[in-house]
Amino acid sequence: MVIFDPATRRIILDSASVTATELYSRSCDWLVESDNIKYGSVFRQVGSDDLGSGISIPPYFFLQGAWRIRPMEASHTLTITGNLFVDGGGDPVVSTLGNYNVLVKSVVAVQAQGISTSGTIGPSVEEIVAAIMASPKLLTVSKFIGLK
Amino acid sequence: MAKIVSKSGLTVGVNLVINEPAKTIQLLAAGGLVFKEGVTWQALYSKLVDLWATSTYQDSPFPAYAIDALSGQFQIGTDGATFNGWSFADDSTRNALRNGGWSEYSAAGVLLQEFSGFTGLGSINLGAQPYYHLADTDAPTDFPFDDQFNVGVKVFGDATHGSFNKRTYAKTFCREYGKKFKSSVLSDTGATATGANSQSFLISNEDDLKILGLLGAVQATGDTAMSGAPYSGITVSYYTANQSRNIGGSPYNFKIIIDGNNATLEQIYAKVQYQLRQATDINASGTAGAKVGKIQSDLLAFVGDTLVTSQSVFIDNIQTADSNRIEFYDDGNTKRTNPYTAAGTMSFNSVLVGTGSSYRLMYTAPAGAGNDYGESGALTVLKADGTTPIAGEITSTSIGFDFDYDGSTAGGTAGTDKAVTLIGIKPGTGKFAVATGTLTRSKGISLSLVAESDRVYSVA
Repeated sequence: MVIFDPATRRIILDSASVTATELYSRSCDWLVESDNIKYGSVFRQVGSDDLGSGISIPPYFFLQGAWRIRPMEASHTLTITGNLFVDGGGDPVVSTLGNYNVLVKSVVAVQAQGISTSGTIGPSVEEIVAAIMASPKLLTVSKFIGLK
Repeated sequence: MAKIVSKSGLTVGVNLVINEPAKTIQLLAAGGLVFKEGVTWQALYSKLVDLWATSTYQDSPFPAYAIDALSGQFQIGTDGATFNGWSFADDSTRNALRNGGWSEYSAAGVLLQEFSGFTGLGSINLGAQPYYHLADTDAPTDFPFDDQFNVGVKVFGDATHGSFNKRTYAKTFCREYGKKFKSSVLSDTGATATGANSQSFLISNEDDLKILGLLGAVQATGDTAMSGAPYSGITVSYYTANQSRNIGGSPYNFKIIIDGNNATLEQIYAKVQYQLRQATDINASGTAGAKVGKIQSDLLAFVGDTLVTSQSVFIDNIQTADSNRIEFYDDGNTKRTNPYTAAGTMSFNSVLVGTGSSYRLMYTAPAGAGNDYGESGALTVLKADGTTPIAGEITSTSIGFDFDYDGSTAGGTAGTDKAVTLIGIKPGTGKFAVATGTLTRSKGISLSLVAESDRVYSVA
């Protein structure tokens, strides 16, 4: 379960694998709870526009203000799938509170378009990731960040 | 036919009958005399003088005495020196007399009855039926003819003529559908008593554009509407004791309470005017006993679009949007007004509307630390009631709001404009959206929030 801490502007994870879409969606859910909306949006999201013929622009997610992602408190490899960035630049992931080694693997697609096999519904992020990983023509970008 | 103002308009045997044996004078509706138009006292008196200048009538005592024609003071049954028993043959004759009041004496010199010449000054609409009463609790009496009045009203009768004496008070009214109401009381004329003279009352009316605009020109249509919503729930209650009402945080006293039934001020006004035309008791639940509508004082009047109450009149249950176009006059006749309540509308595009959505109106950057929009102490704008936040689910593309412009200090100094931020989201269909605006001293504040469609949100 993802926790949103408005006091520290942290998105606190409890798993080793998340998608940007999942984080964005949960932030939307969190915003409509209680008076959380007063803190403003966690993400700015662009893309996903339908280009016709079953093609759409991939979604991009930009963390707003001081919002950052904090991995779960354990040594692990964290896989974040999707085009996740910080609005204005910067690292989207911060260190854990404890002394853990966390390897962060960011999985994004080079192709700037989503493809809908049905003609009306675009592929899911998981499908896109699977396609990327399976195809030698698609580049997988892995970014390693050394954490204390 | 016009009012006969010259003795030449009266002809014995045609429209004037002099009965010497019975000592009566009678006017007939003939020969150019129409009772509604009538004949002036001066014309009749002059005709009598001419007649008594001939030998035909000189064997009878002269029937009348003119004290002063200008002030309309006449007497009948006396020649000014002796009493002789002359009188009018009937009330139709009396009702045909204009521009004067008179006393009627017996042959023994006893004052039998007295008529005051009530004259309406000003113009009233054709067909209007003015009325009067001679004591503030008396039932209303229509003048004998419609249109503007000029007629003798009996104000005194001895034991053989009704046995009453109502010469210290008189009030005339003209209350017609679609016209502004008018009434005039004796004291308005500077007089303290009526009597055998002319009494002028300023009575005129004009179109009531509020009524005509709301209900149309057809009285039957307007009156029928009064039995339906919201009019049927608008009532008037008269109390003997003061009723306290809170205006701007302070209590004030009133004795007449109108239940506005959450109608518009125009609708409330229309119903009250309707009530004040009724010959029945209109006191809904007050303690002041029966109050016949037709003779009660005016309660409300519009000055432009502002509704102004009469002294000691308060209206419960008015619409929030109307709170600043009404002026109350309390029991001490001091004007009281509500603090200014600003109002406006928040507009949302369709992707933000529906179950699961959320909006909130925040002060953008109020004075103090940690309370700006986006901070943990961010201040939500409260409605005019001072307790309800302007926030919630977006149930419609348009949501109205109000707030206490003059009284609220939550986002800064009361009575000043304040910057606000409107935010909203509907997970799954509408992205988070932000709009800024200003709360001003206005009833027409408009804030618009437009969100992009959310094509990414995932429930799982």
